[in-house]
Amino acid sequence: MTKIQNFTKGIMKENPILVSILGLCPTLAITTSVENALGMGVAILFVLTFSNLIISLIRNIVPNEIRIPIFIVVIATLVTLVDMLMAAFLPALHESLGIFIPLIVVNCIILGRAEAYASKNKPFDSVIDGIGMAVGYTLVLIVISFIREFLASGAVTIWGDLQLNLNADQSAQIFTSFFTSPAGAFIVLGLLLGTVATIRNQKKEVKKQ
Amino acid sequence: MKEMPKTIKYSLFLVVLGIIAGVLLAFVNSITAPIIDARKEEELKEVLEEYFECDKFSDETANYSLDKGIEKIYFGYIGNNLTMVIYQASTNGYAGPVVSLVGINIADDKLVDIKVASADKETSGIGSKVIGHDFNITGESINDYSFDIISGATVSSNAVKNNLVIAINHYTDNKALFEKAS
Repeated sequence: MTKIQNFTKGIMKENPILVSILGLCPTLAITTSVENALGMGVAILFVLTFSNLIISLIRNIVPNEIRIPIFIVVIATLVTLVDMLMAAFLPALHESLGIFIPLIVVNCIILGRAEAYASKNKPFDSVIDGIGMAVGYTLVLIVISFIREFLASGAVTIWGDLQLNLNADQSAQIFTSFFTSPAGAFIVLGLLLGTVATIRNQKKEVKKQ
Repeated sequence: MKEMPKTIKYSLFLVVLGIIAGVLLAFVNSITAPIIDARKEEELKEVLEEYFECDKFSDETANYSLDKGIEKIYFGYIGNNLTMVIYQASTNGYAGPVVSLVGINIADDKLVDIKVASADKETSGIGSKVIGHDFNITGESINDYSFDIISGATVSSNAVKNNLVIAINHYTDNKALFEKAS
């Protein structure tokens, strides 16, 4: 596998949300605005890159029997770092992501990549894998939050005051806050997963023929 | 050399890792904690400053036993002197909680002001009159005050009055402690 394939597999072939269906709890909860999705993406990118790097560096001295607690200590430390830094420097974002920052500790993607990739591969490859997976995760978060936020209010908040609002005068009545509710999240995610699965199945059939 | 037993080796590994993680986190916390505290104080000040003229506020809720209805206790300082106790009290009004801020001057036991901080559930245009209303109570003694009910908003006004009573009762019970603190 080339370095580029290693990077892009996180975005396409092994996308954590669309293909592995991992880490759905924050995916459903925080995708109410694109800003939240970006913030969560940055947090995941930081944690996943460094946890992959550190775990790959110590992979040869970690005793196999206690590798899970060790991975969790590494991940929890990184998440706590992100939590503190975000609380200090990005308070508004920290507030809107809330409990889902500390919950990154138990995000399946992070431990999944540590277990499946970083603990068996060289540090540099692990970093590329981490970045790829985080970018893939973030892209899907952005797509979901874009759809949800737009359908809910006709506006898209990219960062802070940077907002595109097509419905500033509230004239269009088609937008409904249903899509910011949890049920809206499930429906958007479900349709997205279904679409991707259909496309993948079609591709497989084409290959078979 | 004989190999270390697994139990000890593994324990040591985890202990060392834990120490490294702890030191790192303590270091970062020492940088971020003051920033977070400073901002919290700033936010608190912004809310209270709207209603009370003090130079500095502090949240003392954790240091006192709270009566029913009292949500927060703040100290207001002018210069460096503790001047007033500010209560955030909540009582149910017509349709939901009416939250008021009650300020009491410690030196002379007089009411600084009472303001309604939120009454979102009260009927718009009727009960909602209490929001931002000047109850004209500044300077009256906590033992002898006249509270004017807003006509047409009796239930909501009574909730505000009840908040005032709750605050004064708590203040009277804890006066000795406040005086010690000032």
